[in-house]
Amino acid sequence: MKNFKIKLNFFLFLCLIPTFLMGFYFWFNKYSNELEGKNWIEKSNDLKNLIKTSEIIEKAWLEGQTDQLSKEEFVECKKELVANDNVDLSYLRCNPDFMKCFLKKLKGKIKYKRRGGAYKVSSVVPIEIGGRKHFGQVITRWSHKGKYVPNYSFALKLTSGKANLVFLMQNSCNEVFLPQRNYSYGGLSRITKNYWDNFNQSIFIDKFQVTFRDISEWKKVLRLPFEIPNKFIPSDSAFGLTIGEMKDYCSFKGKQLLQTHIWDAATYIPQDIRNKRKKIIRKGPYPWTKKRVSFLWKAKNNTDFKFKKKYCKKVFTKDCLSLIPFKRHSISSSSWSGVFQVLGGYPEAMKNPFNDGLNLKLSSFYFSASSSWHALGKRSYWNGFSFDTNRLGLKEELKFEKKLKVLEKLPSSEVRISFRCMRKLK
Amino acid sequence: MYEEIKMRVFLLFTMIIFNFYSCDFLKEKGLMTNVFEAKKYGDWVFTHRLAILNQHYFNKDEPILRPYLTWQLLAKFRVLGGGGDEAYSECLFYKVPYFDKKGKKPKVFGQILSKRISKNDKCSIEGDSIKKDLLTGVEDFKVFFSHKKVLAKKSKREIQPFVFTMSYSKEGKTYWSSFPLVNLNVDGIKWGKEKKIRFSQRKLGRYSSTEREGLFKAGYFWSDLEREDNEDFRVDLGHQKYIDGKAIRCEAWSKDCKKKQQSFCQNCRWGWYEVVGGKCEKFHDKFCGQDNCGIRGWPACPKGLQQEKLSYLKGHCQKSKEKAFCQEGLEKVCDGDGVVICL
Repeated sequence: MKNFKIKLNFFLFLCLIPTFLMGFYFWFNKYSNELEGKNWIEKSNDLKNLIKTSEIIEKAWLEGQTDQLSKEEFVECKKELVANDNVDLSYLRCNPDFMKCFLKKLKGKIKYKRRGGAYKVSSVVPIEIGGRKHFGQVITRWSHKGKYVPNYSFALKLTSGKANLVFLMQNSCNEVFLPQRNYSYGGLSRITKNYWDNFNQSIFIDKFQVTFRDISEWKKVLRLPFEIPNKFIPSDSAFGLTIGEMKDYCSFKGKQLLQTHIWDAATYIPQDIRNKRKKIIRKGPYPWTKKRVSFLWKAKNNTDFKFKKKYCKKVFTKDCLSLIPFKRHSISSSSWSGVFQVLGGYPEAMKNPFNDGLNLKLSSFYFSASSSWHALGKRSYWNGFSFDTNRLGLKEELKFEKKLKVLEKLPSSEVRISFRCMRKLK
Repeated sequence: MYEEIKMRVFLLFTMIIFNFYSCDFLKEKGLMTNVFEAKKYGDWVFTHRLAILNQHYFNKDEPILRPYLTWQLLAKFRVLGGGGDEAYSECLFYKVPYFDKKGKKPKVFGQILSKRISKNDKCSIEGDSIKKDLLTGVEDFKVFFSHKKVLAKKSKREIQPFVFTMSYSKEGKTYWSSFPLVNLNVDGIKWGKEKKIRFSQRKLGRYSSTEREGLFKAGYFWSDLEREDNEDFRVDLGHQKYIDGKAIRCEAWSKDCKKKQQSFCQNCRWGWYEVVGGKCEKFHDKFCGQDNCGIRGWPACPKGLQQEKLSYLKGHCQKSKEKAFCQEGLEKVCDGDGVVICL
């Protein structure tokens, strides 16, 4: 009997141990699954928070301002970027320097509210580049090897709870689409061999001239030394680059140096904007009117013409230098297609696929309003590497006045040539 | 003695209950609804290409009821990972429930299956997978997705663009799960029936910018900055002159106007340019590098489509020449590939 009892107990023990082990195994599985489930739910909530944060960041990127910053902080950021009253606020849009300043002011903490909930905070994590920590990093196809790397973007590393992500922002503020229609190169309408069209082509043109900020960022990525010329600020149109460097900069951004016929298309106002397939294209010489007569025409043809301050908003000529300060990144005068800095300001180099000898738009603050250079399609020749007017073959046209404030910053015989880029998409 | 037996019985009983409780999860192989939803949110959020398959099931606001007990492939998500690489693909399947003739309740419930596969693999219910997520006991399954707002009239709901939405019932409760696809734009959607909406067909007009048509206009997302892969996808590491014959053709068209290979112009390190001429009349080849069109030794610049009508001359090369221009004093010549170059 006693033996039987021991045997029974032993049998029960043998049955219980595996049952218990199995039970424990299943319980552990269930517990770990529940824990994993909880983790997934937390992670997805954190991701939702990061996406909400990205919306706020994207808004700040596109608008160049944000209600996350106080008025004082915004003014401080403007100061840091040397974006004073003579720099248009459009300079802050899609500008990595503004984003860095904005994030530095907030110490990387973005506050937001989700529908019906309390305020939450997500963090932008500094990225270590060359031993120093920065809010954000420029990611380009030039530097990154991945398959889906954009030509150019500014990346931020975001974190909230268990989730992380990288938010890449592209510069969509400073390019404009060239409407698809018939165009012609140059000022003369009747030479049909200069006619072309861009149907089925998506051409985007830089709205503004390339700035020193852009060049400095490019050189930094290439690890090349670069310093903005003395007395000039990052928002100034970049000058002093050879045509080869201009092409290289545009290529770095996945673009091309602007071509003259594209520029003509973007600046000459179509006489009949609704008819895209006009056989004969008539043109006026100014980007703000279809008429052939404007204050510039009067300045050229009327001896008693008096230049007024208000004209500087349309074209910044030599006359304006003594009237108002030069505004950088100015949006006060736009072409029909939406590009800025059309006439006046800095001379601009382009690539001319029709005539290599006409690759420089000379309308600039070097000439007074009465100069015939202040008209669309008027171009001169630049050899692509020298800035000395004595070597440019422009000596006759450019009569520099040493007293001009802008020219005091450089040797008076040097001309400042700026540029912009364009690109085709698909 | 009696106390001892009582104790043993109690212990045995406790262990049996514990084991039953532990084994409970075996009853359902699928995930809990909220866990499934949370997992898919994270798995799909970085989708940059979406293929809609069996498009007739989408945006109908009607449950999928036929064919009974079959797995229906609904969508393929191609998801971006770290450093600008594609990480994996996920395939979404639905197993249609079975109803008997009179029953309102299904005899066999439906199942939602998400299967992760390698980025280059095809979606198949039988094929290998990296992981699977299953939601069982499902009925009244509806699916919605569009690049525009969709109004589900019966359900009185508005489905937001670029948000993949599923609605289903489980254990008498109706669920609406929304998955925003933050990297997706119009170009990335491949519809089952309609042709892919190309960038050029989008309504770009005066003042249009390069903003994307998606949930984020100016940005997109990677899971990380670091890459898992080390392959260099950049093409054209130096300046390749066209005249030297070393320029890299990143998009090539055959004589019968079919793409010879998938275009990789997006990987050109220095941008790309299009040439006039080539083998196909309709579409032109593209090369990596800086565009120097019109200059001696480089391809001619495109004059556009309208200019074709000016051509009275036959012959592909002659026609191509009329569609291009060179700098003054240069001559247009077709090279061995039929590309118009300036000499």
